[in-house]
Amino acid sequence: MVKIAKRQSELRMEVESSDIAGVSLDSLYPGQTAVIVGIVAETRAKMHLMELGFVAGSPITFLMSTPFGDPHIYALRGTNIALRKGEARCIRVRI
Amino acid sequence: MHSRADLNRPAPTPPSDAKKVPLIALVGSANSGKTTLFNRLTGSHYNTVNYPGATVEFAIGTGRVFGDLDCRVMDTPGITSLAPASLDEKVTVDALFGAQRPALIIAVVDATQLSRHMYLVRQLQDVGFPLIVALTMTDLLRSGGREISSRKLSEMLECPVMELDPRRKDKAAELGAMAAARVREQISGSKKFPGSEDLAAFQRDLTPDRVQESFTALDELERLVISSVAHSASGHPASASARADANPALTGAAATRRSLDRVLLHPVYGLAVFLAAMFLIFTSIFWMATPFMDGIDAGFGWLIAAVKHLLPASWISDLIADGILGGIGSVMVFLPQILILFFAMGYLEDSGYLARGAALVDKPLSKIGLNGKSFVPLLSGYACAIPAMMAARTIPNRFERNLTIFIIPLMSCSARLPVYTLLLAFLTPHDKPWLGGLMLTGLYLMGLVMGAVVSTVISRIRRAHGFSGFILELPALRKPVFKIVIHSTYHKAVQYLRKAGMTIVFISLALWVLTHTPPVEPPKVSSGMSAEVSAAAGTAAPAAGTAVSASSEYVAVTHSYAAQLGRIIEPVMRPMGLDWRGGVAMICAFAAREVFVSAMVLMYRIDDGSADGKNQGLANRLLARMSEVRFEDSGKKIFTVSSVLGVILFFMIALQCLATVAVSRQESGGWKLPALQLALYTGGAYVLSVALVQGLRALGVA
Repeated sequence: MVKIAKRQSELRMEVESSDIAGVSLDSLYPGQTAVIVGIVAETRAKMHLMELGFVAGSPITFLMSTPFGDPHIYALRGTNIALRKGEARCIRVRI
Repeated sequence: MHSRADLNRPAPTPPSDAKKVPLIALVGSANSGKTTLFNRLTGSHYNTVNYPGATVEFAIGTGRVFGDLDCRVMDTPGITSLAPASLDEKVTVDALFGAQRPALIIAVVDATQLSRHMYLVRQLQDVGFPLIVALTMTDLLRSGGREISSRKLSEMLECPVMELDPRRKDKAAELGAMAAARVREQISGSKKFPGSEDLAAFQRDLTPDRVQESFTALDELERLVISSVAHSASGHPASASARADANPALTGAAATRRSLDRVLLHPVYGLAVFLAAMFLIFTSIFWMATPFMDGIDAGFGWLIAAVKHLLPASWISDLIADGILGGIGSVMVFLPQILILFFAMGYLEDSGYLARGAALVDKPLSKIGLNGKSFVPLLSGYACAIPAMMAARTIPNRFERNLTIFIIPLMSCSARLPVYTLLLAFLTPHDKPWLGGLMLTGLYLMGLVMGAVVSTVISRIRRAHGFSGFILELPALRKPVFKIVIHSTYHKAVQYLRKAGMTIVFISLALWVLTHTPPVEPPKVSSGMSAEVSAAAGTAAPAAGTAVSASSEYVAVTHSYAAQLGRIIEPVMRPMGLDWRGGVAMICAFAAREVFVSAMVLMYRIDDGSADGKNQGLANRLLARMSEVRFEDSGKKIFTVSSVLGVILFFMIALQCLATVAVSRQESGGWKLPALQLALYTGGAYVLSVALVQGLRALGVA
């Protein structure tokens, strides 16, 4: 059951990733601002990120890294959010 | 997901007339200013109560600013959405739709991040809750050169909106009047309150497309209600404020926050600040708490002596003095430590630093299979495992949450400190007091190292399933509100006293009964017996007047059920270097670790009757006694370097607290986790301490 659901979500990811252009969020340099174009992740993770405000059209700024290099701190919709690089990679942005 | 079938259970608290008194819930995202507002609305007089079925404690207080309306106000943990991503969010959401539905929700919204916080408000409206929106941080918005129109916002939302500085009293009264009117309207009306079926339907219909639509609409709303102030108060040049409009992240307040973060998250300074903060917290636990702990210890010692002196000598005075007062004393003695650690953590949390700390340690913790969000639970584990395991609810990934809960008992909780203090004092030579401190630090670090090892091994065997991530909002750094920190510390202490304290006092009583039954007739004690006992225990003959009473008590203990039990398990205790009396103390420690100390006092007969002990503290008398007691058969000393080290190692690893086992079961949703903890930690502790004692003895260490 779990495996099937996982495969389905992988398939869905592939489908979605094909129509989301842009670069991944973790490719920004410190201080750089971009606009989110979409999220490539399985539905639950995607929903969670979106509910926090990571939705298409939002400006986002990479503020700084943390002492061990991960997570990164981003400014989004008036707040600062720490995000692992792995998650940042799921978020596609347009510079 | 975690099974929460017990949510249907009827409420144990509050009382039955609670139904008539309407409940007003404060709901909002984390760091929106809910708690400050809550204190204003309730005048800081509140209790933390268990919400129906749920174990999370919500603060519920009587409303003070609602005119003649009788109502209760409830503060809830921050949520982002009605579709919860973690267990603590789920508990909050379920509570809103639970047995005691709020008559009104005051949604607390930070004006500087309007779109994110309005997202939840829109959801609350969609499911049909009666609402008032309280806008906070409007001053911060203004200092950033922008302004919000609460009138426009109210028109667009079709619900009352109140601009609020939670720190100003008059505004709270105004909000109270508004809320009272709304509640009356709600009670007299026949409008149906949303129930769990509405929540289920709402969660079913929530799709990524709908979230996208909501935010698009909220962006539009934000454009309409927030405008830039014409004259720039903070002296921004025109171009700068134009840019600020395009990107709110670059406004004044956010910029200040960021420059501070550059230090706090700097590769060198950030780490230095973090280590300094941790060092300060832990040293304060040791040094600041010690005088208070000594004071409490001495106070209870005096009280016990006074009771024994005032009441006629009988089993009743014994029960009151040793059973009840002794039990309460053993709970109270490490309250200072718990208070200090919770105060320090509350202070760091309210300042916003704790979130940065979690972000900072996320990578190292992820290497051992945990998450940055495990940081706060693990840190709390140094005070008490019970609130620590509950704090693990904020970890969204189930595997990481369970793994955090799994290793929390290895963190050196404050209940171990009285045991360590006693045993290390035994080991420390009088001319080298610093050695004890050094060893204590070592013990604390070793707990952490063992936790890391266990966590690494388990996470290598069983990989985490599902989405493992770290997403954490870093709240604005600010000066902590002292009153709020004090209150949260106080309520955590009360929670601890209720949960762990009751168990400990109960066990102390049970222990007293076990050691005093079956009753032994005092006249039957012969002088020969007394001499034999004195010789076996290796003590100098006590003053003649006290000899009979002291040894008769000893005889009572040696014939008690506890002693019979101890003798049964003596073969198991021997390899650890302990006799049956130590065995009984160890059994008692399974109720709660610190009971070990009072059990030692009882089992090795530290009587206040002994001639030279009157002016010494209980601990000193116990220490003196420990260096004397011998095995009853071989006559060898029981407490030696090796056996004491063995006991220390056992206490470091073993899971000995019944309250922790219960909470572990409740938080992990089954017996599997606590059973594994008991088997691994307690079994491992025994094997390792036997190996240590026998190994040391083989090497010639006594």
